Amino acid sequence: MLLNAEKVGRSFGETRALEDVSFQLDNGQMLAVVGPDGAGKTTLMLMLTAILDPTAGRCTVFGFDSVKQSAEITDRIGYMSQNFSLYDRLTVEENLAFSAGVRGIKGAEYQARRAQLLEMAGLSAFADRYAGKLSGGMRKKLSLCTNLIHQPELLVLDEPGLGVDPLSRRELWQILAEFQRQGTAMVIATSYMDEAENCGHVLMLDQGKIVAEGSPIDLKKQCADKVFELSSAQPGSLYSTLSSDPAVNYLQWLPTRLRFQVDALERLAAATQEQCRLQGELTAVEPTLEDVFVHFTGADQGNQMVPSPAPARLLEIGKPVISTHGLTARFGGFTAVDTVSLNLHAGEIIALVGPNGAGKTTLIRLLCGLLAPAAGELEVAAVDVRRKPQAIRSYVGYMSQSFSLYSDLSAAENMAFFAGAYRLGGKKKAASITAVSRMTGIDGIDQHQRAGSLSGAIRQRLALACAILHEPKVLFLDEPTSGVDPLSRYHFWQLIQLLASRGVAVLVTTHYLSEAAYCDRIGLMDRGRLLACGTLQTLCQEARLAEGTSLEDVFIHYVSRAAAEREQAT
Amino acid sequence: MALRALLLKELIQFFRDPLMLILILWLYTIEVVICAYALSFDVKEFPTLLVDHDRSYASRALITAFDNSDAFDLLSVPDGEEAAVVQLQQGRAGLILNIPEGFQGDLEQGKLSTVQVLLDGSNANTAASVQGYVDGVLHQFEQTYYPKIAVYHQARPRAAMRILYNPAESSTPFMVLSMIALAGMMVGVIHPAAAIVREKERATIEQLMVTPISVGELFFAKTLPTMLIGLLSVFISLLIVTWFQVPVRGSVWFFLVVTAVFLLSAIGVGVLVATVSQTLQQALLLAFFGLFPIMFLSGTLAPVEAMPTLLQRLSNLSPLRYYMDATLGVFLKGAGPAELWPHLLVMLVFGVVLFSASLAGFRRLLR
Repeated sequence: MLLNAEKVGRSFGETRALEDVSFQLDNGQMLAVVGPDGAGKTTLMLMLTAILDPTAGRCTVFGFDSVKQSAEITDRIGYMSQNFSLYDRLTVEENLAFSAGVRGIKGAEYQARRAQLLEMAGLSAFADRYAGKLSGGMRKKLSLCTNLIHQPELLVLDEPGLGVDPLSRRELWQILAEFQRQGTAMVIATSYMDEAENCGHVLMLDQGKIVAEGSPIDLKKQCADKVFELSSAQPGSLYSTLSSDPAVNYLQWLPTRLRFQVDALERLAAATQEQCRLQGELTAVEPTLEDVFVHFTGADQGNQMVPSPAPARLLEIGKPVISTHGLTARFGGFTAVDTVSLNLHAGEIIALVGPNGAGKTTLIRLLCGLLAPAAGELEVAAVDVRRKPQAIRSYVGYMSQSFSLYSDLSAAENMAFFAGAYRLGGKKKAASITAVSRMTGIDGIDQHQRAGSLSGAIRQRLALACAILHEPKVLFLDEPTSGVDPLSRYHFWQLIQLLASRGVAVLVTTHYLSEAAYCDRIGLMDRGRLLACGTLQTLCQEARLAEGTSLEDVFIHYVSRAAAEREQAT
Repeated sequence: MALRALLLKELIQFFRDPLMLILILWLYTIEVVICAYALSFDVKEFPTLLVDHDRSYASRALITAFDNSDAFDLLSVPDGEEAAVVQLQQGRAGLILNIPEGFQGDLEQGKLSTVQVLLDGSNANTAASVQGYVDGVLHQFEQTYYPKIAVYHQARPRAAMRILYNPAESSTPFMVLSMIALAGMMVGVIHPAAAIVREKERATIEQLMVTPISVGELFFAKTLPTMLIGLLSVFISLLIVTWFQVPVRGSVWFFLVVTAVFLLSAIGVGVLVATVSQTLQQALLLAFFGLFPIMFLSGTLAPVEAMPTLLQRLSNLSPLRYYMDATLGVFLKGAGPAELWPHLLVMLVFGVVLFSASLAGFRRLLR
């Protein structure tokens, strides 16, 4: 046995980060540890790598005790933490040479491994480039290479896919798969369920405890016949019926259908069953790991978190709220956003997807008026942003990647501050704070708790609340769901749909391609260009791909097509 | 509305930042106390060795005279000069008083007698003070025991010395006041720099930029608290001043005006530091990088008059120098607007220039 955790626990003062965790891992096995922010994933990784000592139980790796023989363990493993462990001012080559030097890998052995790893990661051509100048995806791959240079028997990875674009994520997993074939065992903490799907074994953590474990297939079996999809011409009324039925869990409103969990169909109220039969077509569907996760962690929370009526989405086909033409942004000689033309209507949700550095964030910053465009036209709410960037501020809500809250202010103080910043006062201020906190469900938390001590999912909703206090016409969300567990992510999307149903135009960037299903249109971005924008269906048609092709494949198709066109041009 | 929300936020954040609170209190209290005691140029209990070759009534009287003085601490008497010099080299003693054979005999015959004084000159400031004390004790000794010789000495013209403002010639008032001036400078630079850079670090600054808050409002909200804190701290410093029994001869209100004008420059520097740094760490490093030359050039640690001409000219560019002078003037000399208006004017010019420059820099940062 390679790794053995026996009733491992860890407390930080009064807080119990991890409790009673036991599992085993054999040579060449791949274990995924999934769970929401704050479930104890990172704490567990730190204990497996003998960096942190458990306060209860014990952990042995290669038969060595993680407390007494930590040096023996760290010599034989590779550990990639969430933060980049690269030296920005060293080149790719120097970073690799450094980690090889630390591990005592020299001469011909180093040369051989270096060549192999760089080749595998597609970094051979960039050996002389500073690590700080690489894109996010390339940095993650290099970071992985530095942890593989000594061919460890065990590789521990903490959120390897976090904030990495789909393309780089796919390449990262190809490298991992290759090493697994060679016999490397891996423990991978992740909040991406599709990553967990790639692993032979999955451990689901919630609030420091194991809630489920097993192979993906076994886990999904436990949810078989519990997940249903309902397509209907009147989704609105069905949505309200289902959401008020106590037996229904995890009800999702997707553009073409409703999806929900229920322990057994008979558990539904008779009236609900009747209505489903009359108004729609009900089919049992294959559960995903996400369903399993929600099944084990979210059952008790139900739909209580967002006590909102069903969103009735009616797209107004009128004058667009945002209209850009040939919008371009440059930093020095680098074109970050290249002639983007895009229209966004009231009540519409557009998802921007693309690799890191594709220009998504820069585009949003242009649209918010945070950045002056180098060329092109830009109108927000019929205001020419180029001439009056200040004038759009009361129409625009913006939530940045880092949930920009004041961590030393309480939830209530944060909201009061942003209400004041948007020049709301008196009764209007109090009313909008009440309305928004009820809508986002943060009225249920202790209002005096500092924002810094709230969980990721709650901070996310608080940040959204702060961004919509002034009832903006347009909402920009830059990776609002990064690192948040599936259930909270789903609730968050429910909120976004609710806002859209009230006529707010929403532009959102995301790395979770599955989230594109919540959106009306999908914009594919690469190298500053908006390659295409439309529904998944129209994107498939335009590229002559079979209907039902996954967004990931569609995206990769468009990116490689653009690359081929570039090559032809030069 | 927006401004009120901003100011309230800054206020709450200020009181929730224990590090900044402690830093400010520390600079105004403990730092001043430590420096006032540690950086004193007054000599007390200076380790002294006596080598007595005369072993007479007169030599013992001289030794007693040194022993009675607070300035000297007589260590055990060594065996001869060599042993004494070794102790001087080891740094255990700073002064050797060598009384030659025939000391008493010479004195009784009314002849000029010489005692050898070996003084460790490695610290020039201390050595100069000690020299003064040695002269004083010797003079006292003459007058008491050999007035005849003393009369002979007194025949020379003597300066009728009167020390103004600080008759005890203690270095404490100077040290206390200059440390308070320095604390004002540090807080004035570091506080706004930290308040701005923190927003950059947490990316909240972008969130502010999408709200209707104007650059002017934000600038005001980032600088006004520092001004208030700087002025409130004047009252803390008054406590310290009282503790050290430093006189307050001028008007406290006028000192508040002087401080406010000076803080304009300090805050300006702080904001400029924040516009070019990305992290709090960078800002603090950069602030200290700038603070040290300003401090050295201000005459806090060494008199400006002792500097080379070039540095003397440069010191005219240090706003702290004028603040220092004005602070000493108000507290020790009871000076007011009539005497200090040139200082005030120069500081106002510096303040307006630096403050406007920082506003311009801040505008560029947010655009």
